[in-house]
Amino acid sequence: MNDMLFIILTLLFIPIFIIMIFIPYWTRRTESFGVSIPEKLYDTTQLKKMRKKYAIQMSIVSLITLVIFLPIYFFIHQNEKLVAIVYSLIILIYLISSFLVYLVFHREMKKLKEEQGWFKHKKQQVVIHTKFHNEKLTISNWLYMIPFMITFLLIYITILFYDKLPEHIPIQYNLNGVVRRFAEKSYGSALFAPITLFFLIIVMLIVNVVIAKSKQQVNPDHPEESIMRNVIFRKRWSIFLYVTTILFSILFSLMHANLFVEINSKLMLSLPLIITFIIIGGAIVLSITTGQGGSRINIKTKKDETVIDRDDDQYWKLGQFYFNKDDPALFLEKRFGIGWTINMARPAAWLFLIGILIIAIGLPILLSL
Amino acid sequence: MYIHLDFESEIPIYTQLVEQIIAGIAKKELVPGERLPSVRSLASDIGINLHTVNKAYQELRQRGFILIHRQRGVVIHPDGPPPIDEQYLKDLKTTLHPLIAESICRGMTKEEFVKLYDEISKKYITEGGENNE
Repeated sequence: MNDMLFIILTLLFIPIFIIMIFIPYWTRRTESFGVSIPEKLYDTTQLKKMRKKYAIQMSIVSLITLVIFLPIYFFIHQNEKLVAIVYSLIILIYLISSFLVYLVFHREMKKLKEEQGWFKHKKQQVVIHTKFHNEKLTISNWLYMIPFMITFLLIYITILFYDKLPEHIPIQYNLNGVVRRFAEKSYGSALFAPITLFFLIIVMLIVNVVIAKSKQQVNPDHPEESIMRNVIFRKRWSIFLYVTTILFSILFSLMHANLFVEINSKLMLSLPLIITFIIIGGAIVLSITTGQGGSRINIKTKKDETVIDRDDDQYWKLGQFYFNKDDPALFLEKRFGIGWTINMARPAAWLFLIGILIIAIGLPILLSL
Repeated sequence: MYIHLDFESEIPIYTQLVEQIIAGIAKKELVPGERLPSVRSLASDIGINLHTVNKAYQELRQRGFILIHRQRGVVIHPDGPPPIDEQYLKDLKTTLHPLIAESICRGMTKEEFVKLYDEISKKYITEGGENNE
């Protein structure tokens, strides 16, 4: 069975590698390695070469990571806990290394920009549409009633049939689907799955709201096209989020039902893997087809070459961390990557992040007490 | 409607906001009763201080272009733009004074000056459709 663990851990590297290698190809076309650029420069050979160089260097870093992981794994594979720690550590080191590689390219890009004076003779503008947030940017929050109903049903059934539950309740599974930790029977441990699911749905719902509320980012040289792209971008991720929530609800429901009735063990083993595969695969496909802010969606309209987006590099520390005291926005699109980030100058944004972390870390501890 | 702001301009951002919203009303891109974004939402989208947007909205309210409701938020004045009153005429004269003075200095004729009015006003009267966003 340990071969299975090995295959899963190795396979899990792949999506992380793909994302880290291809990020520069998925960003908005007005950005290059965390530096804002005029859009038409994105396709110049110079920048194309830079992206390629980055992809090659990141591929090498990824390969090295894999080569380091393999012998370590065979050395320690008997100790499952140690494998988990080492695996997380290797991923952490990989992420730090990628950031260092990024920093080199970020510096180079910044220097290039200073030398070239791309923003001269262009009017820097910020453009917004007064009705942008009135448009339907996400799926309705009410749709989340469905997974919530599933959760309440699970809770209701559990309380109703509490007597029928076994004395020890599994609360932690390893990647092979084998129970790693049991808890004494109590309402806390019996309701572990539904309550975890409940908070998971709340987090997803909050993210859906964030997608709708996050800052409007329009390219002044072609505002209409840019808004169209952005609306599609937000909608697609909102749908993705909802599908993810439903898949998790199904998984949790089956795992929970397994306490009462024996469910086909093959299904119970493969389902978490299949769902993980669908979610990660879906996220990558969505990133490739949509791009950050909808940059990879195929729409073409006429462009006004005399205006350009406001150069806001000064607010992006190291090109990736947004810090702008004058901006009341809490959430905005990431610069280098796909998705959204926070305005670090706003305490409310920090509270939001910490709140989600507390739910993620605190809940399992609280329920297994 | 689209609002374009130029951050390098010497004209303060709040003035640019006021001018653009009035231009939007003139072009009928903003119609009476139409909702404008809240102070926070507009400031977040543009990336500027809440006070800047607030100042612009307060000025538009004082001049009678918008209403600020506690519940319904900010709306374009449902009764339409304010009429020409004494105060407006006085302000307009004050604004025009130095402009006309300079045009006379430079030898501009009345016809040339009026031609400019025609040219500029066309932008607002012909371009403005019923719901031109």
